[in-house]
Amino acid sequence: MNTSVATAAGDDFRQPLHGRVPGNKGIWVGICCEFVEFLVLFAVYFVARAHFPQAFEQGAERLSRPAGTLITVVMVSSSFCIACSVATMRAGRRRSSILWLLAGLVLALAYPATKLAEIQWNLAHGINGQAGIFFSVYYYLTFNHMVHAFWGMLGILWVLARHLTGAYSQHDHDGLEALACYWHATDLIWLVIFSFFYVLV
Amino acid sequence: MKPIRAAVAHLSFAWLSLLGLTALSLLLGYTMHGKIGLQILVAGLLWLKAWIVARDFMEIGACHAFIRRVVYGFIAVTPLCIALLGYYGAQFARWACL
Repeated sequence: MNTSVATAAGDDFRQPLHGRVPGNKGIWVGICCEFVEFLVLFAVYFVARAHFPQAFEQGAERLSRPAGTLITVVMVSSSFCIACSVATMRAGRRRSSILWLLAGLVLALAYPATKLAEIQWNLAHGINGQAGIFFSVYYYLTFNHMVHAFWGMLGILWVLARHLTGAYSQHDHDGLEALACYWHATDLIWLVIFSFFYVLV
Repeated sequence: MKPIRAAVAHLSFAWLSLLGLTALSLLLGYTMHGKIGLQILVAGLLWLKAWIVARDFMEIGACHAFIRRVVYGFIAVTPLCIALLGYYGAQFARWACL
């Protein structure tokens, strides 16, 4: 599918034609499945929270809020860089687009690094999967999200490799857009998880 | 190259807004610990952050109607559940018993 965007000098490169499918249809099938999967997982969170409100209030206080905040900053910033990568590619600035994508990858890699440090901190404070209902739900939701983020990081690596070999142009960069859509969707899901475990105390 | 500068500036503003709203939500969680109004405010902030990502990063306004409905639906459901659970948590727990 051709990425139909405005190309004439002076056009707004951020606003593509109306009613289009960004990236490709396949990635949107994947994103819809991801949304459905996490909605089911969120339903489990709500049922558990409704049954054990005190466990959820007390549990959130024991988590490392700096770690959750850092992951949020990293995810949002990585999403921003990848959105800039798409915007610059639309303007025909291939080199800038590659640099933004690289920045997005570096920031994305900070996510598993922070998560690893958080898990070590948790275990040192006696927070494991058997520490109670709150922590069971916390671990399965955050691990699930990290699995999806890993797929996204692999996608970024793949798109970066293709970008470096000149696979994308100003008029045809569907792969880059598809990756951006997936990464933004993963970012949306993290924002929900962050509110669940680090803000609602 | 003014259009691309404008586009990046627009995305930068969205990014800074997201960081600011994240800081605000943490501040609310800290200052309104255990209060029922917290759930409504957190739900509102969550929806706003998700809407910014959808509108500015995903450019969902220019997408096909089906994609728009899926994304707007997804970002509306969770804040709504958070807000409702704050008021009807006990009833929901009874309803969700096996």
